[in-house]
Amino acid sequence: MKSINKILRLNHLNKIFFALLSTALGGLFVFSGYQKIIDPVAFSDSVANFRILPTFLVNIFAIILSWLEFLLGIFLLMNINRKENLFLILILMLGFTLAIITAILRGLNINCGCFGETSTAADSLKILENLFIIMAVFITYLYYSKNPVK
Amino acid sequence: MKFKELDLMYIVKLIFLSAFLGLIINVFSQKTIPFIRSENPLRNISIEEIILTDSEIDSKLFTINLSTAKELFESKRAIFIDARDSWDYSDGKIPGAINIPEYKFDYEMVELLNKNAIYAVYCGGTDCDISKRLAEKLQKAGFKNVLVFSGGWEEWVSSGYEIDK
Repeated sequence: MKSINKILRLNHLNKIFFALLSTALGGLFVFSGYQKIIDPVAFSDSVANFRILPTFLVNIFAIILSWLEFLLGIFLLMNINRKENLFLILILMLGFTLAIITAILRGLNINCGCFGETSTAADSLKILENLFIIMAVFITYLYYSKNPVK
Repeated sequence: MKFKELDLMYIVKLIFLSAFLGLIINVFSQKTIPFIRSENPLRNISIEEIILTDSEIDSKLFTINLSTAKELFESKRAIFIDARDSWDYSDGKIPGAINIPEYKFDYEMVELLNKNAIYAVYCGGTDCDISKRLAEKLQKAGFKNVLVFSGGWEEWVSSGYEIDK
């Protein structure tokens, strides 16, 4: 606990570090949301391929999700409601990772739909990447929870 | 570490905003998609696409028309699967086709088959959908290249192609 508190302490280095980290996360989500918005056919197909949602809900879900990601990225970059944005991003990332895990367990050979056209496979490498992102989001969330910026 | 209160109204508003923007843009954009998605009407795939891009068949279900089925048959590139029950199968089948009745499909029936080979699944014809259902089950079971010959037995027979009795 003590070392975690140290990492999250409010000091100059941390201020800069977490500002950069949240900018990077914001940029990532703006990019991935944008990639989904510009190719709704491909993204909705990707969502459908996971075979988690009932078919009739897939497109609505895909539309909302792509815009939600994009807006989360934008607002994170603009430092608006940071904590809430990070929290939502964390939830989304956990959801995506869970979806990929179930896809792997069911033997689905599909692409993750993460970045539209440039998506890669929904495989264990993707899970690893997602875990890194989840960790980054989580500590950033903790930092701003502890040290709210006004 | 304290877990501070989150502004839930903001979260709700954000989701509504996303839905609203998504709705508007989808209605007016060029690349519009239907709000209510219908069960995939399967896309047809041609023999050239199968040969050139056979990794693209992965995880997508495609239908093939009669001439593509014929080509696959003659070139022996695909293994035909008859999804009907064994009585129909023994009354007449596409030569070389194996019988995997959809209604009693079990993973054990297919575990020894080559998952990377190309399979063309058929049933009676356009009135039956067990070929598509069996194809989906095969995909779930890990078969990478499954095609649905939607014209089925009826179309094959009525074009006078060879059959096995």
